[in-house]
Amino acid sequence: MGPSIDYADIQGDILRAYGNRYDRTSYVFVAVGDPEHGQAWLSGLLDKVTTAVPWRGPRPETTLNVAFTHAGLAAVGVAPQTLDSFSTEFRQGMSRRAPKLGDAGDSDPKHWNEGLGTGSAHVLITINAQDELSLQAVLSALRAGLRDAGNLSIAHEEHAQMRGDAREHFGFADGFSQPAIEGVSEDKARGGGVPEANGGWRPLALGEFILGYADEESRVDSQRRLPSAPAGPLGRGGTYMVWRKLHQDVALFRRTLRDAAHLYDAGDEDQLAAKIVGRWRNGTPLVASPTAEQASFDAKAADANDFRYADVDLDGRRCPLGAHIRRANPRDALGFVGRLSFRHRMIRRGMPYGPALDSDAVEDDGKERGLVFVCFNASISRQFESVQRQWLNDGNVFHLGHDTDFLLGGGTASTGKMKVQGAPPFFVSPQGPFVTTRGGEYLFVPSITGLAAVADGVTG
Amino acid sequence: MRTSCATVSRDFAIPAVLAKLPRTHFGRWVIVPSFVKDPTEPKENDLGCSYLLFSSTFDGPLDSYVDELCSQLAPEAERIWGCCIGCPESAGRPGLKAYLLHNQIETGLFFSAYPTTSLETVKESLHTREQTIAFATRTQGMEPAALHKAFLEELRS
Amino acid sequence: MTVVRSPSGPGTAGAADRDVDGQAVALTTFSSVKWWGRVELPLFFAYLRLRRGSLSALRQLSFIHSARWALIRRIPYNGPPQPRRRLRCPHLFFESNFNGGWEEYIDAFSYVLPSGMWGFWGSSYGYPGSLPAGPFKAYIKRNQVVASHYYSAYPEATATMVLAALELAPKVAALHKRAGDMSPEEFATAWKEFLTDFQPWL
Repeated sequence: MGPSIDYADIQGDILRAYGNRYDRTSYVFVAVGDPEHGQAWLSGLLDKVTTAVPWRGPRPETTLNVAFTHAGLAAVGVAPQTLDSFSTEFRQGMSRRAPKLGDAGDSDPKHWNEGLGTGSAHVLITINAQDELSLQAVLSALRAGLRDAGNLSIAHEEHAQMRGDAREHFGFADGFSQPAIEGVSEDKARGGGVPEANGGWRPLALGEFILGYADEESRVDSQRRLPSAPAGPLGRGGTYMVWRKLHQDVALFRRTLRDAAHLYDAGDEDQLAAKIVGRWRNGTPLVASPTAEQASFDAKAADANDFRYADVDLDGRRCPLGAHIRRANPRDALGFVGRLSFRHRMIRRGMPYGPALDSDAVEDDGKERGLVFVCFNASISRQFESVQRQWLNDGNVFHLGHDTDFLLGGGTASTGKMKVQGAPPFFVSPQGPFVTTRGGEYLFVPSITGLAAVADGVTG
Repeated sequence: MRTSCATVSRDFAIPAVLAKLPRTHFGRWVIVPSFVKDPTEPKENDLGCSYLLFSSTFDGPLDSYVDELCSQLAPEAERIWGCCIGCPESAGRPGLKAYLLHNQIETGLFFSAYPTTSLETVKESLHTREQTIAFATRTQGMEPAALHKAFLEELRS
Repeated sequence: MTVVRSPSGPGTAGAADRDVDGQAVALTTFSSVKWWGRVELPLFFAYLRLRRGSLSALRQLSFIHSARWALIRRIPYNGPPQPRRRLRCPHLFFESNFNGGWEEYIDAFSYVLPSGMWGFWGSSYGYPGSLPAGPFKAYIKRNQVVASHYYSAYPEATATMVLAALELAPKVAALHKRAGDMSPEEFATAWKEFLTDFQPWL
């Protein structure tokens, strides 16, 4: 259809789900003191950056990828006119957009972890590793490299690790539902693509996730214009990245579930939990299997996500209208088949951090745990922010008034609730601050060519 | 649901007064400095001066609405439209009313999600709904006797 | 060669805030209309007024409280110093009260109502078509005027909340009337039925 995909020029972590094979992921935010030292250090890293080219033979022990905040691009000497060509929300940075994202109360940037949201995080190095040994080797090399290069320091680091049962901390299998991309993952189109009127699915245009390629809008444009992208060598083969550290109060969630389940006649705690999320804990979609988890459910199967809402569940009796996954990816639930949702998809690459809470504990143990949420999208405002603002932090589009996502919303003194459709309906409340934002950044992931241009100081 | 255009000679801040007109659902004042000329337009279309647009979505007949506007918003209305050319300075309410009606633009098409509902009904219904939801959430699991009693007391219209 | 589309979105933060009152958002646009719009628009308005079901998609896009179109053929004259101006072409005035994001609002019209958009703006100079959405949004942005003052009488209520409330309130009243004559057990059953039947409005 369009031009062929230049995998060698695209960084690997965008299109490849490294979390599946590498169970450790470390995020190191580097602060760059001056452009010369920054560029010299980046030049040294270039040949270590993992591309999207499929591996022939055994996979490497570790992968490494590079992204920049806007402050970071400035710090490494990107030309001013190029800096101005990035999107408004990226230039402002996540902490300045906190009110729009609902990061208030305990999630307010003033409470964020040190180094995040203050403009001092410049370059994000993401390392995936198969085991602790290889991870530490790369981290040591990275730290040594920073020392040797000079005038560089670490603003923040976060170490995430896949849990034994591949679940996030509330106990749910996560991360296996991804957009099906034309030319890349068309085999996942059933369930991962755009639902069509005839019951079929089609994959999404690559340009929804990688800049410099045709997106869904280019399809209907007689001039086949490409979406807006930064100027120069950074305009093709890269994408925007959202990184958010989300603390999870597992004990509070368990207590809330336990207390609410006393009043819930239609099922037990597991059923109620499934109603809140939209999937059973092992990933079985509620709309496909409303009364029981399917032990045989295989999250990795090609048709694992092949389900829709409009034909069997318009009233939300199977999967509640406000369930988390229904909000985050409504598919055809907003009416007009997929036309109101298909431009708001994201590639997600999150990883849990922190030790698991004892399986029968209902009181917090004081340890930090949660999810590092990572997504890739061609437009932060149209994709990530729109979902956050219109679908998670509000309920109007689902005819739920101001009800926010039960898992993510809440803030510090919430009177929020969730309505579980049924006969009779059940109201889950109170909505607690189960999730608190500990920090985040908007980043740009350049292509390999773009990265080389930055390292050479030739960006405009 | 009427629009009126009147000329205005300078910018000014409009106070929040429409709450005093109890038939008003939505209202806006917009200063239109000039019409935007599209590059494909063949001729100049310069307005020559700024215009003040007032648009309101309200219940009931226009005539009495304008009457209310002129009386309930008396000092503010005179101040707002007093900046406009041709607005009578001392003719009082009838003068202001005539002025506004003279400057009215007819609506071609109006769409409302709830066209025949009065503001009072909207507000009362919203309040009832809010109360009912709070009641339903709070009384889950309540024994029938207590539930019955609470309903009769709390959800009286 | 490819041309990069311009990024879209409302203007400066301060200006955009004046178009907001709680959950209600205002959009006001003027566009200059070609000669044949003088005939097409009134006909289109009449057609939509008469064929009731024709605005059903608008109703289904449930985030609109109300919207209005007017064809301005002449500017009322109030005497000097107002310059006497004959409008060289008529202007289409559009205003809307809606909920949600500006981008999502325009996207919905682009993707769901392209033929309706043509009916309203097809006769306006510079109308680029409603798909792709990017140029259409840029067109709306160019023709948009920000309010100096915007007011909603029920700012915290969205259109769907209003509609739900209008459905629910009479039903609550009806139940209240009957409840006085019921026993607690009868009422408990009736309440359960009420919640089940009317849960879309709760």
